[in-house]
Amino acid sequence: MITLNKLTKEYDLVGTKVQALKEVSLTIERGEYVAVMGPSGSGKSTLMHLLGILDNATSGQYLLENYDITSLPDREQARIRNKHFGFIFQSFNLFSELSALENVMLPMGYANVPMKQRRDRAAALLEEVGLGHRMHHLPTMMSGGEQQRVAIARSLSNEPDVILADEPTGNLPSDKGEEIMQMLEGFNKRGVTIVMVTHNPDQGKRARRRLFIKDGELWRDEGTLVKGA
Amino acid sequence: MAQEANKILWRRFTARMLESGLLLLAVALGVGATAAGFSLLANTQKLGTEMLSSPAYREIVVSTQTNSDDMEVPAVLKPTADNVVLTANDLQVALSVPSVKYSYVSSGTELRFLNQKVIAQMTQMGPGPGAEAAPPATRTTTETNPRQGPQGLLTADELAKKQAEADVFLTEVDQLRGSSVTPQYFDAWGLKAAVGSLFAESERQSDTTLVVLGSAAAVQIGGTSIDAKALVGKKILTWEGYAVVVGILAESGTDTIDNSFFSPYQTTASDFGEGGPPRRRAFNVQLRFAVSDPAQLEQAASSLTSLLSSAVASDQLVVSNPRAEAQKLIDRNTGIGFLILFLALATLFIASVNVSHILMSRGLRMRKGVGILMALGASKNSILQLFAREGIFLSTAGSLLGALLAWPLSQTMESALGLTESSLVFLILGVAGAWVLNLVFSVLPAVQNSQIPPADAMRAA
Repeated sequence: MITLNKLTKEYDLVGTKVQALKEVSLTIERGEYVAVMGPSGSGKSTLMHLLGILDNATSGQYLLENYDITSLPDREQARIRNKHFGFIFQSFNLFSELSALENVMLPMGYANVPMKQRRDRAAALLEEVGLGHRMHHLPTMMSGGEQQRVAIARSLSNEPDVILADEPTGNLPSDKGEEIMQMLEGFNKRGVTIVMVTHNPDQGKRARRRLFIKDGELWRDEGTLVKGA
Repeated sequence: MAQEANKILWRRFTARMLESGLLLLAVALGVGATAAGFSLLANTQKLGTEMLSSPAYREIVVSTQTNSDDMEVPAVLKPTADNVVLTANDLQVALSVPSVKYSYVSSGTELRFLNQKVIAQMTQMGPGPGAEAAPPATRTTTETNPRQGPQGLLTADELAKKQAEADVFLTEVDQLRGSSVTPQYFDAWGLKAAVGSLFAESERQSDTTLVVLGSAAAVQIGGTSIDAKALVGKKILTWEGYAVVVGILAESGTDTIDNSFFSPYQTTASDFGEGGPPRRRAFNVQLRFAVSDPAQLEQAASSLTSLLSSAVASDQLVVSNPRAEAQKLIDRNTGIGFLILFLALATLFIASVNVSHILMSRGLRMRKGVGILMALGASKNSILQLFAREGIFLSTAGSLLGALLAWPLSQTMESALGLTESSLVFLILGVAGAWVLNLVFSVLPAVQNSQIPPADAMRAA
């Protein structure tokens, strides 16, 4: 489903070129549950940004469903993000001005889903994550676990192929983190591809595949020795 | 476009009511002041141009000290001897000045009409003004004067008999203001007869009082009883005798002319310097000289001063160029208008820069939100539209408030500068122009905020 060929990302920091990602090549199949692991500054977030088309690679190739999306116009990239990817962030990143229902409806607005359909689907998703009774509440009135569940519902609103989760339990107590992990595993079982950045080795072990990033390079892939080891 | 995204911005806008309110007020003040300043300047130019296009501002008015007091803007005012007057000869002599196209006299007068109502009132009061010394001979006819009844006033019966005569008309109007003019007045002012004719120089000394009515004055005189056009040839009964209507003017577009009547300015032979001490007789009015090209006014004034100074001592002559005085007034008002517009534009600029700055910082504060929106599917164009909406709303709402401020402000300023008419069109144009100017500043931050790369915005998230 996702194929990266020698994907490289360089940043220009005051005249000095810094390689955040160095010729990373990998393939992620539909329905996989992948954990991306590695120390801080290793290039995990850069990889996630490139996977989610929030950034363009300096060189290399990115194929989505065998379609080269390496350098598409902004509008097309936005459409692909909206349709194919769902994002879950460590700090939830809900809009505090919107109710839980409106937060979940938001991505569907960019997909031009009719208002009634938006509302019905958002309500159904909130029911599914166990927040049917709090759909009109503002995020500030919810606990961290509840906010992350709203964020999960939001990430699923356009029925994406891939969920990109960046430390989804990082700001939650362990019991709430476990709830979120079970929820993600449940969606994966229903066929949604999960790519999750985590520092937590236990959570990493629960993924069926692990990618280890070190100094911008893909160091290890699910026990497959790529380099070193 | 996601309506939910609009809600985010709107709720952020209303959550900071004080800041948002101050932004609106700043825009309103800038737009209001600019619109009022523009309206003032444009209106000054428009009314000035209209004023100068009037024949009254292609005239040189020449007078002597004895009658210069009633000149609107005497250019020179010097004490002179009482016995020095200008004569009608001076009118003809002045035509020898190449730039002078018309020379004429125009002097205010009025007609007082006799009708049933006036007779009834006067009968109750006893001998009326008709029993007093006759007014100047200019209106006296050779026919039997109708006011000369047993008590110097017509009886009701006599009046009824007069009314029965086919060519006599009694108007319900009590009096009408007008001018005694020499025939070139009509040429100078471009006045044409719509019905009947104007009077000629040869008819000026006629024993019969001839009148030419302005278009509105004819309607007024005719009232409901007779069609205005049918007044031509009629003898209208006045306190001084009959006034024979010889013509009705085509509509001039100038109220003072359309509501007036014009009768020949009558002079005695000596007014023309043909006997007696020529400059000691009653032709003591202002002489008016019109040029075809206003640019020749200064030269005409200079030539007329030299010419007439040979007949009247130069220090006894008052020559006025109303156009030059009007132009000075217009120039002064234009200068004030420019100054006010400049200050207003400075206010608008400062307000717009502040609005732009605050919207920019609001965008920066929402950088994290922009990143999330982009991750959820917003394109740069969607972000641009989102922030532009905020700018457009702020600019439009502020401009509408500004329009409400601009109206009384422009009224006050225009009244202070003596402008009699306000123009809503100029005010609307001013508001529109100021709105566009402010809009540019309000939308610029949206352009900047939409150009944040998604990954950079995401790092903020």
